[in-house]
Formats: sequence, structure tokens, C-alpha cells
Amino acid sequence: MIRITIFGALMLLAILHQDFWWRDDHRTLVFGFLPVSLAYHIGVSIAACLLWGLACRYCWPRDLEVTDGDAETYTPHGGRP
Amino acid sequence: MLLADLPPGQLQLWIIVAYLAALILLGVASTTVFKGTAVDYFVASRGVGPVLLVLSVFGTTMTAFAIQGSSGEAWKSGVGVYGKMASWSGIVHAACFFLVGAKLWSLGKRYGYQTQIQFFRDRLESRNIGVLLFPILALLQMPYIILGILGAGTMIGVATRGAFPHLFPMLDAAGAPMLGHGAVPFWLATLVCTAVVWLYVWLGGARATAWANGLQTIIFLIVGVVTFYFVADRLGGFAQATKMVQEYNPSKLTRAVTAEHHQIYEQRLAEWTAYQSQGREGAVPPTRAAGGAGDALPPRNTEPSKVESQNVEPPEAQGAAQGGGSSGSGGGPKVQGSGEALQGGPEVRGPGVAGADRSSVGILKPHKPKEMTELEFLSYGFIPLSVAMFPHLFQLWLTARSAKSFRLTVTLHPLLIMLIWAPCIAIGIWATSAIAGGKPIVPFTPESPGANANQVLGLMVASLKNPYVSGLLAAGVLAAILGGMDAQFLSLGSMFTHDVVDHYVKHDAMTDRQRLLFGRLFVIAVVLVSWVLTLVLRETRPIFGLAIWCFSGFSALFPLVIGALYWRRMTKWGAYASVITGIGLGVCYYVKAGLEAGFSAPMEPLVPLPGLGQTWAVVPACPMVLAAAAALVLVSLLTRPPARSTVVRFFPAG
Repeated sequence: MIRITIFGALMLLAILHQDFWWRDDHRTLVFGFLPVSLAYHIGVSIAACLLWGLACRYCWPRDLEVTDGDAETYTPHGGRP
Repeated sequence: MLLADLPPGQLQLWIIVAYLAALILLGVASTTVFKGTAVDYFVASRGVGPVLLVLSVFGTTMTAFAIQGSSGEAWKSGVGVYGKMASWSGIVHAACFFLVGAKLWSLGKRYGYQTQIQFFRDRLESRNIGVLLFPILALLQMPYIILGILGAGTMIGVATRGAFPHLFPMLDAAGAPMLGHGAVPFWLATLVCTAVVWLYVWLGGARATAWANGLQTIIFLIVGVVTFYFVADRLGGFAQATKMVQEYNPSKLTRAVTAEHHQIYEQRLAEWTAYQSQGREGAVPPTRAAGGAGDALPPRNTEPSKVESQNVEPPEAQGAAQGGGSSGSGGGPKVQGSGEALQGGPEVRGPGVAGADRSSVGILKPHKPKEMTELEFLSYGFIPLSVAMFPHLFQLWLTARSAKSFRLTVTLHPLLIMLIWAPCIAIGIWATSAIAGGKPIVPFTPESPGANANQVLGLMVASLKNPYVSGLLAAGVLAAILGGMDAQFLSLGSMFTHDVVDHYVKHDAMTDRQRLLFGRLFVIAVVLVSWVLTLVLRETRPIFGLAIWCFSGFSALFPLVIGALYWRRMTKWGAYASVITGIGLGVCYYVKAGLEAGFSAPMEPLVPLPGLGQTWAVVPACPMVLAAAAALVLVSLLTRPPARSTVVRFFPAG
């Protein structure tokens, strides 16, 4: 469930990236100097950092680690005979 | 002698020299842990920890564009540049590291891969996939390397103007100093830069590359923040700098262009025209100066009165990194006290004009409002997919100590992008409406013929009259350039060694010692060829237009790698079809754009995409990725599935 929630939130973030609602607002400033659209996208970057952090914490694939003992030296795989 | 007493350009030079010396020291230090094996040389014995991985991956991913190009692009296109490039990259790059990077590391360690082509050969059961992929990867990478060398040489030339007037004189026929008088010459600057990179790559291979990239990332993060602070201070503070944009170029703060924006533009243009016709002192008409590359900026040693009267106009494009660190002192437009032209009571009233300074009215030529469509903004999300197929990034991924090392990279990458891009974007936006000493700091607009957006950051920094900040910026831009170049040299050397010589000449039977030797020799060859090509292509410039398309080319290979990792039904023929379709479409777009605009001219980065009864403008990567994905799926389903042994090897869980 938590995996679905986190990846769902990342999908939502990608959708919310399209901030058409600030599209023509040149008056609103955040902290008195940041154009609202720029401030919003800085927020998107911070949200991406947090969500990918959560994804690494809760959705990290289990089968990725390879020990030195399992590592092979390269030899081309034969594939189909 | 105090540092401040040094001739113009020398302080900047010594900062650059210190930085290059630090890189050599890192290379020498890396030899103390070098194990003398090919695996250690090419992938640092897969022993790089999480912190170094995040710094080196970030340093390699960010090119000079992140510092210099981003400011110029924001100056040209407005605030939307952050969203379409930086915040998209934050989301998509991290996704690529999570879904592709960690998985490729795992397969790379398990089966001993050192190049992408080794992996694809096995996964696709195709001994000759490299015949198709190798030239594509090499050709997509070479323009970046050449542009990097070009940018480094030009940037050092600009930063060191006036440093050695007796050693490197540059005089016109009448004996007057020209722009570039006393600067380190291009051939020498590029030779030194490439030699330094070669030296530490030769000495320490992937480990030295990772260490150098770590240092470079720290440097350009510091540069971004320091430059941001000083520029804001110069413009009278953060709020004042943005207020000027609201009053003169409000469309730069939005993606849309409204009727109000047009109205303000017309009003400001009328004021500027009236100001020009009055012939007031200090007016800077936006006409183009004659002359070749780089000759339009006022020379350092020109008399002040002469400088004042010159049109400070955009020179020809001078390479990707040109303008960075330009003249901290010397003959630029005269600049007076901080924010002096930004105060005073309101003079002009109109929609959105809150209170322009009386003395600034008419000085600035407004930028013509330009809309960024929502589809263009959306389609830029396809560009960052390119990182999944960068050979040099693949090489760095393989250096990771464990899969878990990627976690920090995935998490922090969006934040690091924000830290470097947001200040540079803000500076670019402020540059549209920045006045100092009664003159615009950037004395041309994007509509001026030959306008070079890459100069914007350099001009903003030059207005500070602070050689320390100029020197720091020069080192920062150089760090961004060299940070990518070292890994590119190494990855091309590795590809030549493993995918060409070992596979086709030695039939995958090279000894470790031979791999190490050939790897180092090929790195020398790549460095030399790149340097010579840079000198040859410097004046021809087709390379500028080509480089823009390289990202799209790498993006078009994204379906190939994601299919290979996650779709067991993907076949060799599906892969071939995907690569040929995606890259072929890109070549068609490139040739068409080149024939229309000229191959050496800056090309329109958007292509038409018909659909729903009308034609949409999107980045080329969008149709290229979609077409490549469609070809991959279609042809894979129509051809014989991979052998069971291959499926078991790459998808053991199922």
C-alpha cells in the first residue's frame, strides 16, 4: 500500500508540475522577490527530493544487491544456441 | 604586491590555476589507492560510497549550461525555464537513477559489464548491436566534448583579458589593443585544460574522475550562491531587482503573454524610442556592432570616453561557456554605486507599472513578450530521459559500492539541481531589467541580431567590478565544463577498449593489463582528437547547432534501456527498430531544421507534431521517444521472443 501511495504521489507531482494556474501571474511574489511560478517550482524540486527519499526508504527493490562472491568477470553470454 | 594590485585578469588567472592545480593534486592522490587493474581504472573497483557518488553524478550531469546557459535562457525566455528544465530534471533524473541506474549497477557487478554495449549484447542476444550503438553513442558524445573544450578556452580567454599584454599582445593594424589583448590564447588555454583533465584521468581513472567531480560540484554550488548574493546586492536587493522586472518586462515572470504585457511592452518601447531620439548621453542603441567573434565588447584598455560611446553589442556566439567570468574590471560599461539608478519616484503610470524610476525611464529597451506554450513546457519532460543512456554516467554508476549507494543520489539530486539552477535563473530574469550607472547592464535584447545569451551572466558579474567574484565564476564555469569532460574521456576510452578492440580484435580475451594499457592509450587518443577538432571547428560553428540535438538523441535511446531492463519480451529486432526509428527521426528533424535555418545558425529547438486536427510545437525528443517506443513494442511482438536462458539471466525472479 505504501508503495502505491508513494509512486502515486510521484505521479501526482509530475501532473502538478504543469502549473497552468500561475501561467499569467506576474504580480504575486513570494518572500517579496520570488515570482510565484518560480517559487512553486522550487517547491516542486523540494517535494521531489522528499518523495524520492521516501521511495528509496520504502520502495527500494530488494534484489539489487550483489555481493563480491556473486560477481562474475565478463564473458559474453551465449543466449540463443 | 597585494592581490588587488595585480593587472586586470591576473587574479582570475591565478584562481583558475589554483583550481587546475587542485585537480592535478586529486589525480596524484588517487594513485595512492590505485590498484593497477583495468577494473580499478574504469570503474574504481566498484568502491565509491554514497556521498562521493551523489557529488560525482551531479557534477557529471550538470554541464556549463547549468550555470551560464540557464541564466541566458531565463533572460531570453523567462521564469518558465526553471520549470521546463530544472524541476523536470529533478523528477525525471531521479527516476532514471532509481529505475535504470541502480538496476544497471546490479547487472554490471553481477556479470562484470564495463560498458553499455556489453550489457546490450548479452541482453539482446546480439553480438553486433555495438556496430549500431557504438557510432551513435560516440557521435552523440563528441559534440559535447568539443563544446566543453571550446567553452573552457573561450572562458579563460575572456577571464584573463589584460593579464599579459606583453606576452600575448593582440593589436589591430593601427596598433591599438583589441579585445583579447593580453589574454591567454585559445590554443594554449584549451591545451592546458585538456592536458590537466587527461593527466588526472590517466593517473587515477574513474576514481580520480569521481573525486574531481566531487570537488567540481562543491565549487559550482558555491559559485551559484555567491554570485546570486552579490548580484542581488548590486541591484539594490532581491525585492528591488524583481520589481524592476515587473515594471519593464513582466512577461519574463510568467509563461503566458497577456494583453497587459503587450501594453507595457509598447509603452516601454515608446519610451525607449523617445529616449534614443533625444540622443541622451549614455543611450545604448541596440544596433549590432560589426566584426567577428568577440570583437564587439569594449576592450579593457579603451579610453573611458570611447567605451561610453561604443555600442556594447552582442558578439557572435563564442561557444557554450563564453562570457563566463568576463571582465571583473576594466573596460566594461561604467558602473556606479549600488542600486543608484533604481531609486526615485514614479514617473510612468500604466497597467502593471508600479513606479519606475524617473532616471531609468527610456534607458532599457524592453524584451518583446514571448509565450511559452503549455505543450512546450510539458514536452521538455522528455529531455531529461537522456541521462538514462549517457555513457559517461553509466561509467560512474558502475563505480558505486552498493545498490544502496544510489539512494542518496536519487534523493538529493532534485535538491542539488534546485540549489544551482534557482539562483542562476533569478539572475537571468533580473538581467532583463537591470540598470547600473544609468545604463542597462545587458545592453542588448534577445531580438538584437546576433544576441548571445551566454554573455548574460558574465555581464552581470562584470557589473560587480569584483575580480574575486569574476575569478570564482570563471572557476565555477570551468568546473562545470571539466566535470563532464573527464568522465566522457574515460567512457569513450572504455568503449573503444572493450567494445571495439577487445570484442572484435581480441574476441573478448584481452588480459587485464592489456585493457588497462589500451584504455589509457585510447583516452590519450580521444583527448588529442577532441582538442584538434576543437581548433579546427572553432571558426566553422556547425557544432553549436548540433549539440542542441544530442540530448534528444540520448533521450531517443531511453525506450531501449527501459525495455531491456523491464520487459522480458523485448527482442533484438525490436531494439534495432527502436534505435533506427528514434535516431533516424532525429536525423530527419535535424537535417530539415538545418536546411531551413542553416546548420551553423541557432536552430529552433521545437518541431511540429501534428495531432487532433492541428500542429503542435514540441521538443524533438518527444516524438523521437514516442516513435522509438512504438517501434520497439511493435517489432518485439512480431519477432521471436528471447531465449529462455536470457530471460532467466536478466529476470531471475520470474
